[in-house]
Amino acid sequence: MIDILQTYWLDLLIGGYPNGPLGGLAMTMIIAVTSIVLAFPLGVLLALANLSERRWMSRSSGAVITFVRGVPLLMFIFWIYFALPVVTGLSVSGSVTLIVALVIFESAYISQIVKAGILALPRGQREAAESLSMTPFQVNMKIILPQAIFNMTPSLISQLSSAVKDTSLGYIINATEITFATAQINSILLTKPLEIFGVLAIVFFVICASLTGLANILERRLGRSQSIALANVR
Amino acid sequence: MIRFEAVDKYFGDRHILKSVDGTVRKGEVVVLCGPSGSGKSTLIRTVNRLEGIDAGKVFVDEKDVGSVRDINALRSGIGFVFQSFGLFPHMTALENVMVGLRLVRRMPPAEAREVASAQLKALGLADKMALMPAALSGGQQQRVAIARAVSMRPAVMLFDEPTSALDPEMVNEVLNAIEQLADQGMTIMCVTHEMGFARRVADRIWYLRAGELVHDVDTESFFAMQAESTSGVIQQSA
Repeated sequence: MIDILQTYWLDLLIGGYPNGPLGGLAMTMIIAVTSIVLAFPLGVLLALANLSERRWMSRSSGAVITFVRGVPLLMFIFWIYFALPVVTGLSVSGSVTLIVALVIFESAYISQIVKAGILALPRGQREAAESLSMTPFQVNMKIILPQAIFNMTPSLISQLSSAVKDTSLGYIINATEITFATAQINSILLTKPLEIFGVLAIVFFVICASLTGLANILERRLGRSQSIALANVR
Repeated sequence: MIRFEAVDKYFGDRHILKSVDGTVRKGEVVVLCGPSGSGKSTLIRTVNRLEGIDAGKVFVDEKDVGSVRDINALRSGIGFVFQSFGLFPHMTALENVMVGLRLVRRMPPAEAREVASAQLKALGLADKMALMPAALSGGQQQRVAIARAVSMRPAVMLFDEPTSALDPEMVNEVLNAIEQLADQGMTIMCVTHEMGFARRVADRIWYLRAGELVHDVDTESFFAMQAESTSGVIQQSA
């Protein structure tokens, strides 16, 4: 296993770059982080629509969320992989396809995190802002979301960990992430699949366990600061 | 200034307000008292439509609160202080006061800072402006909440049990702040169980029981009634 790492560490880290496209672990992280960053505003919009008092808005966003959560990510990857070139007339790389699929998929899950973050705030916060005559937009942007985002940071980090693992599905459509790089190394070595995919498993485990650990630490700190704040701010 | 006409309110099957009629005149201080669950808080929450009503009408400056289109325009003339303070925990005391001035009154930052600072100083919080709410005592937090509401220059102030969540030693600092406003001629509706405060500050007392406004009398008459009654109005009704 060590000899594989010694020989192929650069391929695992950045793929064929600079002689080919960027790949490996660097691409995995770029895809995961970009997906979460782009999915976040969509998730916020879905959550706000879902919590809206306008029934058509909450129902239609609820339907979207339920649909996306009820379909496997792989289906989205296939749909986008085959449909996007037809709709846009552009040839889209596997990595971009994967990012689009992840953005749609993750936005539904992030919307639930945002919704829980908003619902966890005391009702009095919204009422206090409304009684100052703030518009619903101001209430959400200045009062509710800044507090809710603070509360939901650990969950968002967990979601990033989940997105990192989900990038491995990009292998199916030739997205040049770390699973793709690993499969290429395997096709060169041929006789060491256990070792080479063992390396892949360890890389995923180290990244995701670190992110989960970070989320846990933040959650504990948040819990402490919230209990202090709740004792003082009633 | 504020008029309730046959106001009814239900929470599910529970009849919270039963045909409440009453008027608060400009510059008047009305204290609402009565047993817990009698509808006092619900009644003042109908004034700025934090609660809707099921029948009747509420008027503020002859505007029907229920049918007014721009609720924010109406609310900008009404200050509300909550039992639970309602300070924004991610902002300092100064920012809590400034936020309404900036976003609603559209004041430039320097002017908003000046108005907010002056208001906090007037309420004895000059050295607390940079602190987060969590670093303030309950009494200080409630005074910041009062400063926040008053800085918007409302025509009416509504207080919903402003001292109920406070330790006894902090009650007076908040009551004194409300008394200052009353002395300045502000129209006030205040839900409270502090009868000493009511006697000192109120022009009229509204006594509610089980959703009905059973007494709407001037303060002297209320306490005279209370003294004459063998068991007292409050105890008898509670």
